Amino acid sequence: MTSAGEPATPEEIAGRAGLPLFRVRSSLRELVQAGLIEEKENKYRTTEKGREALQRSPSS
Amino acid sequence: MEEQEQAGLPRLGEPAPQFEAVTTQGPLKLEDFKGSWVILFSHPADFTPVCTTEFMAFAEIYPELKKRNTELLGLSVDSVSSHIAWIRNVEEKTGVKIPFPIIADLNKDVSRRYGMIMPGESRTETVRAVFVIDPDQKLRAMVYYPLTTGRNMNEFLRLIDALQTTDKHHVATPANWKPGEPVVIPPPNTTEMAEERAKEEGLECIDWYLCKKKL
Repeated sequence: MTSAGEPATPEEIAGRAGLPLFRVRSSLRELVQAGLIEEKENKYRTTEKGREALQRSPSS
Repeated sequence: MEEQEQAGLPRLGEPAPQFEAVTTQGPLKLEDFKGSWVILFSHPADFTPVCTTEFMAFAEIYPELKKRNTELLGLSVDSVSSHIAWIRNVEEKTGVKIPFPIIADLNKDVSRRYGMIMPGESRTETVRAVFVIDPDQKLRAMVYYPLTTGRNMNEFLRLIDALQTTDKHHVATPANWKPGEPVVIPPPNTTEMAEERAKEEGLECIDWYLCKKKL
């Protein structure tokens, strides 16, 4: 998953981030609950609310 | 209270009890580990001597476990703040970084599901329990040690190797087996199969019911 909205699976995100899969799954669950990302067919993409949050982020 | 503490032991070969818990690496569910082997282990308390030696030893075997697609997940009834303070202290004093999450089971929810509290040992602390959970989240092995005895890390590596070898090759492993050594093949179930087994070449047999082979 990228800020550009390209959907990615948890496995792909874990590989890119160099994080254990269990941590990625946990974080994705929290981000979905917060409405910042959404899941479809095991692929996650940034929502409009998530993109807005990214734009407000100092590191974006 | 005692009944609650002794909520029963999980059973081998059955689905591992699911949970959601606060850990030093954020909230985690057991289902987050699907696809990996998991060693879920409890220790009595943070900032205690035997537990500190065990944590350093678990951290030492962690790279070997990762090679075996196996994650570690610690647990005690201490708070996350206590866990964090303890692992920071361990790193500061010994240079050993604890790379795996530790559950803060303050309400004893996970401890009870897994039968980690044994009042004969302690009413307030978890014993040294180890649960091996496979990638399908089935409970495959359980080991319990008392408060006084630190666990042997080589045995857990051996246990993971044995279980993975069993799954891959449909064999069993004999006493004191180590990777590379002959494995036990399932005994025959009928007299005909026993006769055939006796004639099979390439096996190391004591008799028809105890045959080993190299993988």
